[in-house]
Amino acid sequence: MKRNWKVAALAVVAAGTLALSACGGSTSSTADAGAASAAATEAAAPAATAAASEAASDNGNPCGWAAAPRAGGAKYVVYMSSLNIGNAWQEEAVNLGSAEALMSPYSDCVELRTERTEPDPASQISQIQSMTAAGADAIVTFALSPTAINATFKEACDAGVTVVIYDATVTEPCAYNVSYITAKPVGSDIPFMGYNAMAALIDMLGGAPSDIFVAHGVAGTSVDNVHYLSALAALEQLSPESNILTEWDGNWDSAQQQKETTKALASFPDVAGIFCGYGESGCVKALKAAGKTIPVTGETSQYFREQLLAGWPGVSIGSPPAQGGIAMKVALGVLEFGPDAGIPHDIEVPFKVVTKDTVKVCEEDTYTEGCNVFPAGVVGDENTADIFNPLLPEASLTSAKTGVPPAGLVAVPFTVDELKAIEQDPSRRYITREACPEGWAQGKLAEGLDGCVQS
Amino acid sequence: MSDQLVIQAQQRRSSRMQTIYRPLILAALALLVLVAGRLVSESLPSLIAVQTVLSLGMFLSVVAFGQGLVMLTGGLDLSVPGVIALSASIVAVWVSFMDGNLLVGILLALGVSLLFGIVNGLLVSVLKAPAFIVTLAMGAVLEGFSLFITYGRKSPESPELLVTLFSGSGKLFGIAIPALLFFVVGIIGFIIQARSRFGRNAYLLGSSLEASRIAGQPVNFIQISMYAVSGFGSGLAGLMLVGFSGNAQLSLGTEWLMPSIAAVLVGGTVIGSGRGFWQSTITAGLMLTAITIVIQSTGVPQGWKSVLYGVVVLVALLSTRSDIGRRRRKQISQSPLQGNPPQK
Repeated sequence: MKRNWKVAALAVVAAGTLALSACGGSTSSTADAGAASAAATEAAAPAATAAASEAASDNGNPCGWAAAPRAGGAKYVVYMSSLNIGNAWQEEAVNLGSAEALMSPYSDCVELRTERTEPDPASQISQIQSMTAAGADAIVTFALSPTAINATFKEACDAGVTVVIYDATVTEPCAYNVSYITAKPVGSDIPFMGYNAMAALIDMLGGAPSDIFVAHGVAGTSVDNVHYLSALAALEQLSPESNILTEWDGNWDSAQQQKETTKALASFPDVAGIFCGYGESGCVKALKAAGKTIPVTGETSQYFREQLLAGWPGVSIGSPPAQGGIAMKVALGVLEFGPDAGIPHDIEVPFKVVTKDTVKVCEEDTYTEGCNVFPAGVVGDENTADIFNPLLPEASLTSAKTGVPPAGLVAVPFTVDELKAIEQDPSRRYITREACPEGWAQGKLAEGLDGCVQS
Repeated sequence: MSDQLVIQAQQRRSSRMQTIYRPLILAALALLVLVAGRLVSESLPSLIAVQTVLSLGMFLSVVAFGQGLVMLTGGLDLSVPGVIALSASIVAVWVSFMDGNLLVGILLALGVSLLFGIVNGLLVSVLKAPAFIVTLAMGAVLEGFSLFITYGRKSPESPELLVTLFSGSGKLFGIAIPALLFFVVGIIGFIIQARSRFGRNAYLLGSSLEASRIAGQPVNFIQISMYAVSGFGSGLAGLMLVGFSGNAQLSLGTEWLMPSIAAVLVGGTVIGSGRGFWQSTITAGLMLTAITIVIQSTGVPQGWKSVLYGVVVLVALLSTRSDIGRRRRKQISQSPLQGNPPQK
């Protein structure tokens, strides 16, 4: 709330200043992307180039893809955009998406443009409109609101732009949602991060009735709502005798989580466990200062996983920034195969559940099966090793840090069938689209949320 | 000079309530709030809770010191979160990325904070720009700088020493260091505000710009120095909060701006009146912290927590105002948002 007030006030009073700093930001990222283009072109595997030019002869389009570029150039114009909020997660997601477009075979077909969005819907609307006007063939972006930007996305779709949204979802049907929100974590039969995290917490507490804290993210957002309601359902179903001592909004901010946890511990020093949202390093730091080691559920930060590695009882489960790279591959897949090839509009990204028993250190810059934390000192506390995902084996730490893939790294494009295999289950469609597919009606899911049931 | 003496004498007579009783009442209220917390948690009141109140109250006091002086002289410093973020970023980047010396990093961070405080003061006093706008804009500029120096890198980590001192993990005589520091901050603040020439100048300027000018005071210089001290205090808070949180983040200071203003006001300072006492500010800070702890423990939805907290602050403010209204002889002649007392 305070943030909103501030954002509004800043917009009025210091618009000039912000514009200046924003310009500084995009200028540097454009320069990066330019340099990257050159590097990637050099690095492009000759085989891929050969394949591309061979394919180009089929229908005259660049790389032989389904339609000609809207702007009529030699390459498809693809925008990759994230929120400009100085957040490690956003940086990693946008960098992974950018790196994808700079890798062979895509680098020969795509002109990448990287942008940052100021965190208010009005900025995002005008930005999407400019991208559409500038001849975008595809826009891959984080959406600030599930509904507020719909009309703009629809305009873009109608103009022939492929719109792909990652992480947070939108209800506009023409946009592709690529999100983990309703997905099942790897190795679990039950969907929803909140449900799985709460189930794991109850498990760590030995299944006994316990007193716990619940820390939200940003209250009122669809993501937070899904996590929270499914977590409450898990508590109700698996440990109905347990008691929530108090709950608070941590605003996905570790500094605030720490302050709130410190205050809660003053009132309830005998708490048995904490269900902590993004910013979990704050929850753990407050516990450490109070000299308490109790089970904590948190998201994916490097700090938290290092604590798990050191034996802290906890479960780390959360949004993978790999979604940025995966969304880019979905967008490029739609350009390649065409909008009518049957690529589903609702795609679920699997995510990891990591405990002190399954936490495993990654080799510095490459994907090793099952690894989920970087060696100490390689990245910051708030970064995450979930840049690696089964759907994004070509991710690398260098890509995530800089947006430029290391020389020689090659993208692994999706086939239409692979994408069909990760389509969202229709029963969970209501959560992301606020509507059910044909033949389904609104109903209650077993995990406590509104969903769709076959009618 | 006689004006100055008369005003000071008046202040002395009317302010026993504020210098002695009010802080005692506020401290007692803080304890009472914790005792009343029994209603929401069986573990309250406790020594742990007192320690938490003192620790969080210490951070609040450091921010509220400069804020109080600025408000005393009719201004408002909204650049606090920006200065905190910048100071924290400077020391963290300097030490963890550039392998710089911690002491140099601290001096650098404090120096830059002081500098931007002075710029705030210059804009307000010399250019007569409204304090509200100047400091809000400055806060945005500084957040931009913080974003700039940490941009695209891992979020810089706090130097170990600061973590030990301010995270609560370091203890002295079994008590968390920040809780002990509360008293140190309290005493130093008292000496500066109530016993130094600097503090007396602030009171004089706040009670009457004209009197101050007639008395031959360098009015602009004093006003600038208030903002400088506020910048310095926020910078210091930035160093403490980066230790508390373990790494520098843009949002480090956002949670402290409003409480700092509330503490100053609930402590009885009236904006631009030259009335207000440090010991009341910091005990009001303790009371407000205790209230947030108890409200937080009720577990009601966030919306209701904000409503509850807002109502409490309002009630506290109203009781302060009526009290002051009876005792004050001088009307406040300017709006708090204008920043400067009217010029003749």
